[in-house]
Amino acid sequence: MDMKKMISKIVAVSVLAVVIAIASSCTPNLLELEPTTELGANVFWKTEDDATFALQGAYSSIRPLFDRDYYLDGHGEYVRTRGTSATSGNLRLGDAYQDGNFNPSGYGGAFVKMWRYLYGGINRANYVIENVDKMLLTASPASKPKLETIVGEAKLLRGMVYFRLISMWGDVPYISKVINDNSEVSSLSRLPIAQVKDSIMADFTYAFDKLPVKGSATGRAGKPAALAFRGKLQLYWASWNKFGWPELDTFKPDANAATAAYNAAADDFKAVINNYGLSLFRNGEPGEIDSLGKADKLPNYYYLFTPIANNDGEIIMGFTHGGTGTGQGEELMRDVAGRSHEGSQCWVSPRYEIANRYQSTITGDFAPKLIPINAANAGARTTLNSAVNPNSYKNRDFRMKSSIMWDYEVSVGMISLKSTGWCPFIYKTWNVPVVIDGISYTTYNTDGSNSGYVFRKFLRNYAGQGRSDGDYNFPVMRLADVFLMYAEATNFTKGPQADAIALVNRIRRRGNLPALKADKTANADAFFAAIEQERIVELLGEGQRGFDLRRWRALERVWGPPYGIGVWTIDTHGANISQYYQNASELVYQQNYIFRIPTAERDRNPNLSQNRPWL
Amino acid sequence: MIGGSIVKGFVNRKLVNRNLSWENTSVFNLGLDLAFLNNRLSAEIDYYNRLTTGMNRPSDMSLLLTGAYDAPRKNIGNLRNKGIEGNLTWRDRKGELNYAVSINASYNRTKLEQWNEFLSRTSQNSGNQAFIGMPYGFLYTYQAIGVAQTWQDVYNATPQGASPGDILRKDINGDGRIDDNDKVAYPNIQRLRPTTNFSLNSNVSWRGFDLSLLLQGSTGRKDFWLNAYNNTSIGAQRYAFNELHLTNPWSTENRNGGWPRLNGNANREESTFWLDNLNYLRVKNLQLGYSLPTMLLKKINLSSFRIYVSSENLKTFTSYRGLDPELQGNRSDAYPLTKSYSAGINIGI
Repeated sequence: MDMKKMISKIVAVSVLAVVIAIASSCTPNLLELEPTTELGANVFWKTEDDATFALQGAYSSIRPLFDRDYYLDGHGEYVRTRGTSATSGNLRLGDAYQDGNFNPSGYGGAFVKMWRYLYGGINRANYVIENVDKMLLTASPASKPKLETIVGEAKLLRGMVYFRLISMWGDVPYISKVINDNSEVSSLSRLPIAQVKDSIMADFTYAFDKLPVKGSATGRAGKPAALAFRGKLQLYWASWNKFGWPELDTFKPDANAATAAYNAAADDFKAVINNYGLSLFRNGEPGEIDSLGKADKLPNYYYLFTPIANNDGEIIMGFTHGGTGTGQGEELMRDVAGRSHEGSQCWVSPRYEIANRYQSTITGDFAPKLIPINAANAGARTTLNSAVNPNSYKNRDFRMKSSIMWDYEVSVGMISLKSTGWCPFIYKTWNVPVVIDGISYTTYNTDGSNSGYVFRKFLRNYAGQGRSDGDYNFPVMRLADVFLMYAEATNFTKGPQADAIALVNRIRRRGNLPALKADKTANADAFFAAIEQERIVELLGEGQRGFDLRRWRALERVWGPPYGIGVWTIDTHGANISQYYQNASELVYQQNYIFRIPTAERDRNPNLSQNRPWL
Repeated sequence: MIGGSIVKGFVNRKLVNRNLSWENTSVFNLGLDLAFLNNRLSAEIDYYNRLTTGMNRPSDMSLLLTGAYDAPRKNIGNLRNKGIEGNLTWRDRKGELNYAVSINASYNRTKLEQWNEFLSRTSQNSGNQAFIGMPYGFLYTYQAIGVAQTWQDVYNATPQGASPGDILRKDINGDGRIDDNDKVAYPNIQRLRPTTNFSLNSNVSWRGFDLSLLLQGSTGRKDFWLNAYNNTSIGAQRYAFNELHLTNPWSTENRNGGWPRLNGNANREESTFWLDNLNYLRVKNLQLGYSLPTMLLKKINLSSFRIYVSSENLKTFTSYRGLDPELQGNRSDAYPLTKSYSAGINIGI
């Protein structure tokens, strides 16, 4: 080695030594530094802003557990969910629903991801609750109420998630603290539903006590949300006690408990209805309606499911979404519309059977049954009451035109964020030219519907946003639902009550239907049928029907008894589409009444019991 | 989104494993370097036995947590690697004939000795089948009886929802149904890596001519031939068919097409029906050249001149029905191994 190289090496080494000396002298407590890339617990959780920040994190983890509930309507008989647009591995884009099964039967063994992410939501809420509770110990009196509001919101969210868990799986493991290691939960057993229910009640009650009368901003919950969910929980509890839940071994129905819970539920609903000055969207007026085949004017009910209604009081609890560029969009359009609408995929569509549910605005009762006829048959388009004759859809409940489209109904087509003009839906034509009244159009393009109908509900009637850039606040609790739940709760204990009838009539008013005739409110059974009818029509596509059928033990009523022929669903052309519950055993029904505890979890945890139909 | 504008929030998605430590590896190595017959034959043989304790792998957590937290890495188990590597070379000259042959082979076996998390029959770790006492990534599969030709075949088999044209699977435990418990483990076969790799490299030269050959192969690996192109479960509305869909699926007119019927029952399950042996022997390179003798070169003022023809991946001998038995990963990959021929002239001035 020559001298020159040697010298340069020495220089390098000494420079390095100096650098090290300087670096270490600057950071005397190197090992006690707060990490710059992660939030350390002792620097966070200081201010109200920190707590709000954390709460918003919880909201964003819990929103995707509810904001695609429309898929769940596939468990009922009026909506078909042929698949989902959920992105695997992406919670925000529906991963919780991604392995679900959305058929009317055979779904109970699925939903492992839903289970997993629901508990994810529980952990997120617990994280906020536990840490803000700690802050409350030392908080100044001035900041205390604000912090308690935050805990209240987190408890409301936690309660909603546990409510979803018990209504699917019955008894479930209960976690109410921050978990730091797998060993803390790896041997948890399921807590009986009654105890979980009491804990949820406590969460909702705390939320009700601490929340402001109105949420502090759109997307934040207020008192009515806590109260409405507490009412709904008690209504479900009452239903399980009244109708039984035989698949859940640990649960013994009790008629007295049912009555008490119905009454308590009715009290909560009544408070929501009377105490907060809430009214239905646009005061529950039906609004305008256009003639058949036109959609310049649409009823108010349609607009309730567009972003116009985002800040409306009727949406007591809704999960917010942002439009283009926010990365927070909903995909309602992608799921309900066709390729002619920004390349949407029509994963969810109304079944044929819903059409007959829409009553006549003239008689206030069911219209003559539609007659399915193949559109290729001579006279199919003009035959009286033909399902492919647009005139058969005249003078119907305004919610029909607002919710579904039949042949020759139009919506605004859109490609590349620009309107392509009116796009008529004609079943079994896909993107073909058609001339209607001398004007040329291109038909709605989807092969996703097999019923002859597609949704208008949830589909924007203006261009400008992509199929994944929706900004609608998906409602998980609506005032209309509260009206109907109130009617149901009072009807089961006291029979048809004047105030309950008036509320149901207000819902009917929105569809421009006359008030219920006397025979529809003559007794509890008749009134229940009227309430169920309104729930079917009013809440179509909102994920309620499957839960309603299960808590009412109504699967046999809808699909026929075990070992029967089941039910064929059909389309407007009269073709048989799918047969459900054909020759289905009792076990099939039982497995639809209660979901399966994820088996992989039971392999790991011997203390986790299984629901009997799944053993 | 709060109040119509976007807001930030934060969540805690980390669980920390405070007991995490390094993996430890202890190795026993035995090597032999031998030369015989005046160095014409040389051999190198290596034996190793390596035990990795506390494998540092992503851990498995309860579903009660995975919806919120990423699983921390854990020191999760012990894995033993045993193997032998050998190299034999024969080099000699006979008059003007120079030749050399070298054979290189390696054999490796792994065995999972300890695992401190729940392992079920179907447990996988990073896509590798894992079970105590078995190699990491062993083969675990249903046994196919064959394609049912008649309803009688279906009735003779365990009920499994099959119709004629469907693959029938064997009910290994005889409980009257087909489920994960009917899969069979193969301790000597790995799915993702061969147990044995070998190659043969030889070259011969005589006067100006030279010939070299490289063969390469492996054994000990089996995998399923299931990809996007032999899919028999086709979409109801739209599907990209290929010609094989016309000729291969089972039908009453085509009972030996090689595939089960289209849209049948459970025909895409990983069973021995689709299992292929991934043993292969490949002519990786073959080259024939001729160099002009120096005498001649001097006359034309060149320092070297060689003309040759060469081929890469000339031929692969394998029973695998897919594209390339050497590949791992996406079996639907549409690009086969390229075969190339080249001819060239090297001139040194």
